[in-house]
Amino acid sequence: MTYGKLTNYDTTSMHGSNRAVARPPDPRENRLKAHFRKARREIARSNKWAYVFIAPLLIDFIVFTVYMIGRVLAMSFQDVNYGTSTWVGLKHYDFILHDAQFWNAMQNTLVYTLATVPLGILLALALSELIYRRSTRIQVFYKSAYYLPSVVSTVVLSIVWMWIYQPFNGILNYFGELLGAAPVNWLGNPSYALGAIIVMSVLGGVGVSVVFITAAMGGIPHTLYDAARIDGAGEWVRFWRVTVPLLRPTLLYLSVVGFIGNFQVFEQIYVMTQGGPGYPGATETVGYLIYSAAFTSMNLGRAAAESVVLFLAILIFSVLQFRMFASETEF
Amino acid sequence: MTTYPSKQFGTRLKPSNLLTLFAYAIITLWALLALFPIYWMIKNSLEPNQLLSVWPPRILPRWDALTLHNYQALWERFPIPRWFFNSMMVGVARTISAVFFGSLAGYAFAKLRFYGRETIFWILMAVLMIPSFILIIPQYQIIRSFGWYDTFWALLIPNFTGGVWAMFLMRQFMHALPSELIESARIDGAGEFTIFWRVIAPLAKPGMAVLAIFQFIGNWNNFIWPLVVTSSKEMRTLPVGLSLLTSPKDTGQVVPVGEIMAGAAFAAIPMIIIFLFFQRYFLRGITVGAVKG
Repeated sequence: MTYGKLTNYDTTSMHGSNRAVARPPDPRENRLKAHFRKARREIARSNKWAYVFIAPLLIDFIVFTVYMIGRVLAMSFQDVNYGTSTWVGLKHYDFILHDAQFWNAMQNTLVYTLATVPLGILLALALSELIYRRSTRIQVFYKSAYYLPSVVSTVVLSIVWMWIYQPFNGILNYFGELLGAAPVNWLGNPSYALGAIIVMSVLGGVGVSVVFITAAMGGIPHTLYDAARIDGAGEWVRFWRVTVPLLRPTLLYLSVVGFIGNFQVFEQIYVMTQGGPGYPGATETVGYLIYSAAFTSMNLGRAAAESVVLFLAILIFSVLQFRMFASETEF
Repeated sequence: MTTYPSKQFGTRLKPSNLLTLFAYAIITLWALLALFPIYWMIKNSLEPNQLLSVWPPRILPRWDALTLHNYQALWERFPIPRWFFNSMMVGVARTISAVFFGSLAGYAFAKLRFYGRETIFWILMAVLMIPSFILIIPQYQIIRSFGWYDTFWALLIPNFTGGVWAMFLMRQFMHALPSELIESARIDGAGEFTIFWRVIAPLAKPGMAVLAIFQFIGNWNNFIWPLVVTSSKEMRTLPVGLSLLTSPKDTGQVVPVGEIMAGAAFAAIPMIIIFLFFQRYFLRGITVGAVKG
């Protein structure tokens, strides 16, 4: 009896072990029937408790993710007012397509992401290479220092950076003065505002990438470096020909996750500039535009349509990155 | 004398001391840059406001002038303890929930056999890449229609299981646990939940610690969701409350910089303490699942 229970539990894989005991297919039965029979047998052998264990996750996932994806799609074709919604077809998409403010926000988001992610990864790569040769204790010290800003809320960092960027009392302009530069209204000047936010985001985010990259560097076999050395490769060549290619999966991960995250940039903008300065706003991003469409203009339908477009943009960039990195994986 | 090839070549190519010094200069400079905003926040929060408007600004604190006055003044202006309580409540409740349900589901996916396991798992993983921001609008609408707007339900219920990420992290961790223990517990007649609770959960504690730390920090720092689903002063969490300090049109008063910095420092310091205590979990745990996929 206890033995029978044991089959409920899987030592290898789901399908591997029971293939051997499967009945030979009966030609009189059609494929579908055979499939159902197999499924019934699998269900009978399943550990029923597993379904109980995954039920909370599935309920949460279906209600707050799957259903919400359907909802945001549906809302994007509707005019939503409190309690009532009417179908309006492609009205919101048509509006977005011709909305200069939206395209400005999309451009800002692209500039922000295309600057923040590659810059962050390159800096993290350089810093990782520099700290990786040090002793473990020194490595941990620097990794911790770089990582620390990431555990602090973006709102907190934004508030502090606002004070650093202050045109009159800000410490940055003081350092500028020491170097002989004229004071700059960093967040109030349309030419500098987005750059100022990019600098803050890069500085705060590099630590996470450094931890990832140094962890991956630890997995590179040392013999490869020895071989390269014997072949007469210098440090520079070893870094670009051995380290970087072997870090490719990690870099791809950081790049894809970085794009997804930074495309949704919102908190910095909300706290520091509220999309401004100027019109259309020099730092207005799609995330901020969605927020203001929904909660300032109370136009949930348009906000939903903008969300869908943002999602498509993220999707396109994710696919592009996978293809770019995949096509080069020939070593 | 024994010389290994690698050693022989290695010593010959030893970088000059000058280069090492240069490397140290760069990594130290970057560390100073990364830590400066946090230092500047704490320093400014402890100095009287009159000192903050003096030009040129002083980089080092004036030790004789340090005071907690900014914290005191901010407490009188805003319900900071209440915001702290809300943040704590959300952080603790959601962390416990995510660790429990995440481990339970992770255990099922790692160690139990059931029909549809691979299919369900890959469906979950496929949706992991969906940007959470795009779900804010429909989630907000559903919360309103439930009548949960501006209540704890809105802050606590959506994604209470910590999402697919929590399950995935625990699954990766539980793969490594020995299956023989489950087997022998089952022969001893233990129920399935008992096996999870008495056998697996104690062994999975290091994994749970990693998950708990990241969940707590994430929930504590979460901004957009509490911003959208709360409106009354009493229901704000610390980050949302803080963001209001800088906009006089929302609060009807101009808050002095020192007090704003005090608020920021108050929200940041618990996270910094947690980080310093659990450093090794951060530096190791972050890569679980990502690198090994």
